[in-house]
Amino acid sequence: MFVEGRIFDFFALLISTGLMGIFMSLARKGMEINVRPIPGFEAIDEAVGRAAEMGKPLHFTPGFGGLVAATFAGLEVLSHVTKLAAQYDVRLIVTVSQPETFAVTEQVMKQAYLDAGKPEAFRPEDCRFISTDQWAYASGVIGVLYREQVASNIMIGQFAAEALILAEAGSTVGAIQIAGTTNAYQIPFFVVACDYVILGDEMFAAGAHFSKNEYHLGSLRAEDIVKALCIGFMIVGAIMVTSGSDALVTLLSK
Amino acid sequence: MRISTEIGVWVGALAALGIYSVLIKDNPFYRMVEHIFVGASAGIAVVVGLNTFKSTAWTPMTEGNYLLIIPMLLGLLLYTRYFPSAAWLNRIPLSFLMGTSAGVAMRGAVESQIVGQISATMVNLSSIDAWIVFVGTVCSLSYFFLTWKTGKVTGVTSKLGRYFMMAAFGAAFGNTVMGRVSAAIGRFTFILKNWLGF
Repeated sequence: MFVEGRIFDFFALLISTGLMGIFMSLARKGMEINVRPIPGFEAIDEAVGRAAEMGKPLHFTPGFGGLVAATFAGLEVLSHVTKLAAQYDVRLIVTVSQPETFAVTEQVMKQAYLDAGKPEAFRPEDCRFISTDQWAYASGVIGVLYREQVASNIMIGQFAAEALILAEAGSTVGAIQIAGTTNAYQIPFFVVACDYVILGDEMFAAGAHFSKNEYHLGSLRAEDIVKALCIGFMIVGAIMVTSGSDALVTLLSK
Repeated sequence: MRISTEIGVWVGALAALGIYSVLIKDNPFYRMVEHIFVGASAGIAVVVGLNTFKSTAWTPMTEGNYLLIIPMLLGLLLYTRYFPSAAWLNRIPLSFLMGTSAGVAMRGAVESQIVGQISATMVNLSSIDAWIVFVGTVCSLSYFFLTWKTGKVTGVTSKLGRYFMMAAFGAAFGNTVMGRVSAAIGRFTFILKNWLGF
């Protein structure tokens, strides 16, 4: 019935999904769940405000990835940034590297302008598809940052080796920079070159942080419980392995 | 010094110099190379896309695999965004893409990021290395509790986790910088040796 080697994976997925369902339902019924302060998210208002004060554009990119989890998290932030940009009459330039992400990004922006009550403020030419080639995308974004002299640069999504190149260009034009990615190899570059960095998993709190949506809050609480369970497994497993029993390791490999 | 006579080497060297010129400031040379780069990659993407369409969809369909009409239709629907009256149809393939991506990612995440990580942390705690792996992973994970207030114990572990992550980022930074320096040396060697003939 089950594929050998994936039985534990299946039950782990089942438990995680079940917990999400339970906590989403509890959150809807009024369970109080608060997201801890994440400086990177709190600085987004500051970044948009700075662009408004300086009368310069704001740049956002969800990175080089296609439709992956990190890109979705980036688009959650983009929705909030677009609403703020519409509110403060700030020109928002968004650069994208994958065609499927471009289509979704444009929809997210249109919807956010509509939600902010300014559908006419959406300029299709400011949602720019650059290139599917990593380095062409990087050189295109650098060009946008230099030529538009952006006041703020927000990079939240999936980034690879182009991360430092983009962050360096943003730093050179003097933009306030907020960055976030789940790619552990690129976070160090953002830490070095940006003002605020959203570390890995923190990105997935974007929806809950900005919208206070109960489904998002419930799923975040469920994720925390899964993390606590993982820690429990790690501690018990390490103790068992140290004392000579590999029963838990075997269970996980089933 | 014997300057190369190959056109490909000249294009490569001038393009590299053009890209590096942005380090001084934005200039017409950089812009020209940037636009050629973006344009050429768009052209390549179109050719690769058409070839993929022919080999994975059109040819198998003409050979009798008619089910492939469904993804082809979904692909065509993506273009309805250019016609305001039919733009809503664009949402069907987009929803499909998003749902599929989320589903595929979820399976991979459970396997590699949850179960794989737990297994890798169940180490024999008889060496300092093993303790670093164990304590580092547990503390770093505790940093990512996003909806719980930090208590006395979790306060210490999450702070410790942050230090562990910063140490790991430092190591990754150094490692990648070495790789980047090596790539830069490769470019300079190309310019000096292959192009200028030193």
